[in-house]
Amino acid sequence: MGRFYIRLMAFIFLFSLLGPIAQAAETMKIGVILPLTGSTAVIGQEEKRGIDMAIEKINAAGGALKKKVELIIEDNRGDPTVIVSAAEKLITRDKVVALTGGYSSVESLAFLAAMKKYEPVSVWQGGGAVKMDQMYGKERWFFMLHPRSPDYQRNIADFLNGIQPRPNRIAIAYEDTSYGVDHSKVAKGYLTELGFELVTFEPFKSGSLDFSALLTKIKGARPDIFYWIGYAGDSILITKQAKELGFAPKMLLDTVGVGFPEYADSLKKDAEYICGIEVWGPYAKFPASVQYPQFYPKTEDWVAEYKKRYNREPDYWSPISYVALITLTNSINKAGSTEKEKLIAALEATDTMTPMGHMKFFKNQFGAIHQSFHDMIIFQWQKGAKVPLWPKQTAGGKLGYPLPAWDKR
Amino acid sequence: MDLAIFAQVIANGILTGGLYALIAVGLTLIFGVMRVINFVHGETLMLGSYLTYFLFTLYGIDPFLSLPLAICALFVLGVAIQRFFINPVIDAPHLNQILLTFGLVLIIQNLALILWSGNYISMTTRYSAISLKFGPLSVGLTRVLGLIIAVFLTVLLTLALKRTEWGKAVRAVTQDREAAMLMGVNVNRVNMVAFGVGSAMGGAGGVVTSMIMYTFPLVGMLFVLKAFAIVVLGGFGSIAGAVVGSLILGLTESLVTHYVPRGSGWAEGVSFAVLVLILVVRPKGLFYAE
Repeated sequence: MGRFYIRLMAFIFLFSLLGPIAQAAETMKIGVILPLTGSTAVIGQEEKRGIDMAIEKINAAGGALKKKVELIIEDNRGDPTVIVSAAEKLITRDKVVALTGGYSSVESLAFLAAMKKYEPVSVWQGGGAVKMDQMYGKERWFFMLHPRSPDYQRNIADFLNGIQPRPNRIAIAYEDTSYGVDHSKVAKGYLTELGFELVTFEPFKSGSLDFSALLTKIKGARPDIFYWIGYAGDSILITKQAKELGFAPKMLLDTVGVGFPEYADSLKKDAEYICGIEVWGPYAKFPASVQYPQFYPKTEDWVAEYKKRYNREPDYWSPISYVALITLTNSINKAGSTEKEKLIAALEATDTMTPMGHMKFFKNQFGAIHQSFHDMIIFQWQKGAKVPLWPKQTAGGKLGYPLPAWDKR
Repeated sequence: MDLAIFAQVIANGILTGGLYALIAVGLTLIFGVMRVINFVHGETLMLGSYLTYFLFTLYGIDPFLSLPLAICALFVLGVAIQRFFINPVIDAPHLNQILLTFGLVLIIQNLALILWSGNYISMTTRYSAISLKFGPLSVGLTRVLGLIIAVFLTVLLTLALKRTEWGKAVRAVTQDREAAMLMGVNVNRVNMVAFGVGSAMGGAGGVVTSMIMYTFPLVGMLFVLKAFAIVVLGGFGSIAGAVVGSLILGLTESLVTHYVPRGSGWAEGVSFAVLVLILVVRPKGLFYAE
C-alpha cells in the first residue's frame, strides 16, 4: 500500500514538472491583474470584458509569434497588498512574458514599488495620479495608458482657448475635498497661463442643500463661462438653481458630475447645452486604424460589437484594457521576440489609431517617459445625447455657444 | 453695498431657512413629547422624496397631489415605528434609544440602496426651475412653493397644538409626562400620534426636497444633522424655537457665502459657530421655557 502511494506521488511530481514545460512550448503567457471582486469589482469586470474581446481577436489573428496567447488572470480584490503577491506569482511561478491590468492609483503605486526588483514589461491601464509619474515614470519597462489627472484640466483649458469668439472671464467653483481642490488648482494654473481672467475661485461643500447664495455671487461677477468641479448631486442642483436665478453665462461646464445618464434624465431640457468631460465615451468618433483594422475598427463599430456581445454600454475601462492587451501582443509580434529590450523598443514605436483614441507613447511633463492616452472627450448635451466636441479633429457636432436663454433651450 | 444683491442674499437665506424649518419642526415635536433622539427623521424625508419621485415618474402624479399622500403614508409608518420600535425602549437610557434609531437608519438606508441604487435622481415638472421676478430679485418657484408648504404645515401644527384636545394632551406630556399620566392622559396614544405627525412632517420635507433638489438614498443625512443643531438651538421641543433657529441658520449661511471671500467653504463653519455662541449664552436654547 505504502509503496503504491510513493509511486503515485512520484508520478504526480514528475508529471507536474513536465506540465508547464509542455505548456510553455505551446502558449505565450501574459499576466493580467484586475480587481474582479471587492468594492471596485464593477470596474474590474468592465476591464475584463474588454480583455475577453481582445484575446479572442488576438488568437483568431494567429496569437503572438505564432503561439496561442494564454492569459493568466489574477484577482487582486482591489487590495494593494494582494496586487503585489499576485504580480510576484505571475512572474516567478507562471513566468509570464509581460503584465497588464490595474485600476486605482493606490494599487498601481504598490505594484510599481514591488516590481522594481523584477522589472517586468508592463502595459498598464490603471492609475491617474501624477505621483506614479514622479516616482516611477522613468522606468523603461513601464508603459502607462491612463490619462494623468491634470490632463482633465489641460484638455478643458485648450478647449476653452479654441472657442470662437474666445471667452475671457471664467468663474470657477469647486467642491472642497481633495478631488475639487486638486483639480481646481491645476485648472487655475492652465487657465491663467493661457491668459484667461478668473473672476471667481470659490470652494463649496459637496452635498450643499442650496447653491443660490454661491450662484448669486458668481452671477454678480459676470463671467463668460461658469466652470464648476463637483459631484453628481451638486451638478443637478447647481443647474436647477442657475436657471432659477436666471444665470445664463455663455457656457456652463462641469467635470464629471454632468456625465451620468441620470443627469440628463432628471433635468430634461435644462440639461441641454451643459458641457462636461470624460476620459472616453461610447459616442466618441475615432476612425479605424490603418495598420491594424482587424483589431481597431472605428469607435462606432467597436462599440456595436461590444453591445452585441454584452448587451450593455461600455465605459472607458473596457476599451482601454482592450487596447492595452492588443498593444502588448502587437509589439511582441513586431519585435519578433519576447526579449525585454526588443519588446520595449517595439512598444515605444507604437503609433496607431484605436477606438479609444490615438495610441502613441510620449514623454510627459510630469516625469514619465511612457504615457499614451492624454486627449479626453469634452461633450455637450444636445437633444438628450452627448455630442463629442473635443478633441477637435474627431468632433461629432457643433458647439452650442453662446448658450441661448434658459427658456429658449 | 448693492441693495438689490443684499435683498437677493436675504431671500435665498429665508427660502433655505424655511426648508430647514419644515424638517426641524417634526423633529422637535417628537423630542418634546417623547424625549427620544430620533435619527430616523432623515429617512422619513428620504422615503417621502422617493415616493414623490416614483408617483411622478411612473404615474404622472403632481408633487402637490402627492403631498397629502406622503403625509398619510409617513404618518402610518411613523405610528408603526413608534408602536413596534420606540415604545419598547421609551424608558430605556438615551444611549439605547439612539442606538436603536441609528440601527433603523442603517437598515432603511441600505434597503433603499438595494432597491433604488445609489444614483442621484431628480424630476422635472412643468414648473421646475421656473423663476419668479420681483424687481431685481429672482427666486425659484418651487422654492417659494416649498416655503409656503412649510409655513402652512407649521401653522397648522401650531393651531392643532393650541386648539385641539390632542394638542393639549401633547403639551401636557411635553411639560410633565408623569403629571399628564396621573391626570388621565393616554400617554401611549399621544406618543404614537406625535411620532406619526413628526414623521409626516419629515415626509412633507421629502416632497419639497424632491422638487427643489434631488433624491438619493442618503439624502436624509444631509438634513438630519442640521435639523438636530436647529432643534438644540431653538430649545428642545419648541416649535417657535425650531423656526427661528432654521431662519438663523439659513440666513447666516447665505450671508457668509456671499460676503466672505471663498465664503461657501466657510458657510457651514460660521453657521455652527453662531449656534455654539448662542448656546453658550443660552445653554438650553432660545425658546426654552423654565
